[in-house]
Amino acid sequence: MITDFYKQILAALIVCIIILILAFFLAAVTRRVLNARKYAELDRYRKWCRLKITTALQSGSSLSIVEDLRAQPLSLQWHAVEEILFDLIEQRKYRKEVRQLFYRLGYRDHYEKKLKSNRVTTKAAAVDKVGKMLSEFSTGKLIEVLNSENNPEILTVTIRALCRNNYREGLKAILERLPDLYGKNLISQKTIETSLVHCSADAIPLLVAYGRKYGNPKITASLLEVLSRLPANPMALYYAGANLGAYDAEVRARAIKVLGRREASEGVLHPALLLPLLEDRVWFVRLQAANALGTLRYERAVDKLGALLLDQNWQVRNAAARALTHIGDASLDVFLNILKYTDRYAKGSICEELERTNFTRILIENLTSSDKRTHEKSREILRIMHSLNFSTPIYDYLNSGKNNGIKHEMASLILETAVHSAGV
Amino acid sequence: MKTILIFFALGFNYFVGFYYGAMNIFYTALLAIALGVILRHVRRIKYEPFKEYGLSSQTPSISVLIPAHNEERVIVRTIRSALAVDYPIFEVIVINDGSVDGTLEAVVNAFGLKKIDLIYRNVLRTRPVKAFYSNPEIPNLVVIDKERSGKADSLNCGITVSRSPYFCSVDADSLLEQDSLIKLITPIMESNVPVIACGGVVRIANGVTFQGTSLQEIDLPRKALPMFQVVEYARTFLFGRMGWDALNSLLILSGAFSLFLKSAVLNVGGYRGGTTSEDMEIVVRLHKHYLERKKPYKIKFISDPICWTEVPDNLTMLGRQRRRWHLGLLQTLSQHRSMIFNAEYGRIGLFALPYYLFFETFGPVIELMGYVTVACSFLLGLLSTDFLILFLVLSVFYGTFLSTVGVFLTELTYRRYPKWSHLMRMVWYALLENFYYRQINSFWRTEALFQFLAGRTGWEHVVEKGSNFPAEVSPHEP
Repeated sequence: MITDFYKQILAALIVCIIILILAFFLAAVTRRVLNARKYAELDRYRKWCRLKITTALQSGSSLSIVEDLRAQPLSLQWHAVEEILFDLIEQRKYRKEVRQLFYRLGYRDHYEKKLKSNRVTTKAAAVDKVGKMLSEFSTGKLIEVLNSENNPEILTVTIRALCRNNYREGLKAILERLPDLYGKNLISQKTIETSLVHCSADAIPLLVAYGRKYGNPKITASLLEVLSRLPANPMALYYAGANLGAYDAEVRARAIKVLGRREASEGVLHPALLLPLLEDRVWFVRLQAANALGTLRYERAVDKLGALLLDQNWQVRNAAARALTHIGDASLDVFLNILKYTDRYAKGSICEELERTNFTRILIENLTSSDKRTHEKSREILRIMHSLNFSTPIYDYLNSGKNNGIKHEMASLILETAVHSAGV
Repeated sequence: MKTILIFFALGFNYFVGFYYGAMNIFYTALLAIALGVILRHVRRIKYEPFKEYGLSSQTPSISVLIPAHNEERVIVRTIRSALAVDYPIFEVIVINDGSVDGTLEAVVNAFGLKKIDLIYRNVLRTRPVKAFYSNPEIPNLVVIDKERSGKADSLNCGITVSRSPYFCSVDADSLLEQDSLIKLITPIMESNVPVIACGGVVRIANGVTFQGTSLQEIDLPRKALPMFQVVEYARTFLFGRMGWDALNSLLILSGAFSLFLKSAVLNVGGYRGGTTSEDMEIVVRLHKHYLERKKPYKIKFISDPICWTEVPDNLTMLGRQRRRWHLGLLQTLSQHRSMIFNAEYGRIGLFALPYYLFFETFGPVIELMGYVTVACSFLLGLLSTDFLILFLVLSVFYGTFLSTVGVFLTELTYRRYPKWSHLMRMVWYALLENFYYRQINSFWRTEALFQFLAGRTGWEHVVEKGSNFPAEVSPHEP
């Protein structure tokens, strides 16, 4: 009796599993059939819609096609029209008309209603679409979502949508909510920064104003990061300058990023402001300062950058070497001093950067320089590099270089090194 | 004597029944979780900001590390595919691990590389480096030529040379999708908790046609052995790993393609040599490090297919590969045995590692012993013919069910197999694998267990055979 019972259970289990196998198989088959039919029809609609819409837009009669394009929400024609319109709104010349079409065809209302959905994916998808419609009238609705939501996924999409729209009110709302978002850890710093970078240069005063309003280092660091990606502006540069002495290292490093851009060098703040930061206690601040001064090609930083060639952190040493190579011939003395008198490890770092940045090419060209001092310093650096086995550029030139004078100099420095080594 | 034998046979039959019952309940739970996660992921893809991250300066740079040992035939193609990915800032570092074929020459010639002098800072203590190669016109490609020392040491060498905060290990026989790096970095960009590692789905390249570095046509392999592996990979990646990811308890990321936070790997001392499955070992060690220090972290897995890799198409190579994977699992569990059932390590110690110990390690042995005991019980008259048939049918259909769900999940992802014949063949092989492939796999894994108990630590090399190379990924069940 019991055995029969167990057998029946086993048989029932087998039947259930077979039904499940068939169900999943049929689901896969049905999905394929439906998708094949759906996409074939969608392709047809897309082709028709694209032709109709682009012709109307080109002739300036976009509103005349509204009735032809109107479709039941979520029907295939609806999706096809939506796709084409999203594609066309990317083109600035059609933006105004496409916005109008979105409104008149009911897309804006449809997705604005969906903003009230309780389902995360539905709501986030609706936010994304409303954002892509670039309508100023929807900004208020998106702000409502921003202020009422605590779901990180929806918040991420909302912030992106508001930044894409680039309307002042949207940006203001994000900046107002920023302390709460960071305080409750609702959104990652990178997401905020990636989204805010979409702002135009017009946003700079607002970003600076809010940066000053909040004393929160995390917010300041984020805003400085965004400012470092926007065109240089005196207001941003002063704000960054004021944060060079901030207690938080991240803030200092990002302030340097704002100031350390080529276009900022013609701005209102002097690169000398960055010099003390080459001695900062935090390594990545020193690294940023070295990068910035190298980019700005600030010759007065040469000695301090030279000191950084012996920094305890190898990334800082490399950044300093790279910065000095950017500064060019003015760095020759510093390189020479370090290569002559310091430990092998630091020498190696310098040689590596000289090769990586292709500064060796300048050194080689300097062998024909009419300035005797430049010529001698460059030759000496190449000789030391060769003695440290950083000889590839020399041999490359000997093999494929064109200037016989340079080749002759190289051959002699190789000989000198060999004699010197033999003597030792 | 006969009574004792009967007693043991009955006892073992019950044990096998409970063991498989527990295992299948667990698999079903994983499957349900994975199904939910993937369906949600498919809906989310519509508003994922891949494109924006691809253009953002905030997207961190990545070093793609490609260790290569005797990969002359495929290495140039792999490097080209890595260089062709859409990503803001990345570098490709190829580590020639003492190849004795023309690997180095092929790379040097294909990319016009020249020897350069770089300092090698032995941060992770690796075997000596012989030379560095680069081309100023391809500034994001560096080739390191070093003495032969294995994959773990080569990866450590690449980590030492890399200049990015994240690195991605890629097998020399793997081809990347163009948006693979951006997809892998997305969970890292969006997470509030530091994501220290992230992996994605690896698909089988046998049968697939590539035009240069981009995928031209997706097709299934013609041979049976790679076909079984297609079904197995679908099951393993799409419901196994997705399920574990949802439970935040992933223990394996494919060595063929996974992304790591460099500082996290440096904190744990890099990859460890002496293990045959360095991809699992590093993940377990990362869990251990972060859990001991009570630091928040995540290890993620995404369901998008991002990497294509070739798999062995003959039994000898497949057997070697599977023994090596299982040996790697055993070594990892043995090295980190203090974590098993240790509450300090939370769900990893109390849940994930015990699962790997009981179901993955001993599963194949119990399965083989089960076949023998059931046969003996039947011969001794302890098991009725009806019972035997019902058990066998149940076992076959449950296995088919798991694989069919894997096939269904493949249908949900993009880059699915397009033809109707593909779907039919996959379902057919989902059924067939229960009659041959499953048993032979259990046999190889049991062999590995005995080799481990006998003290074997080395690994069997899987060498080139025909047009296929082995994949360095470990689809431990499920």
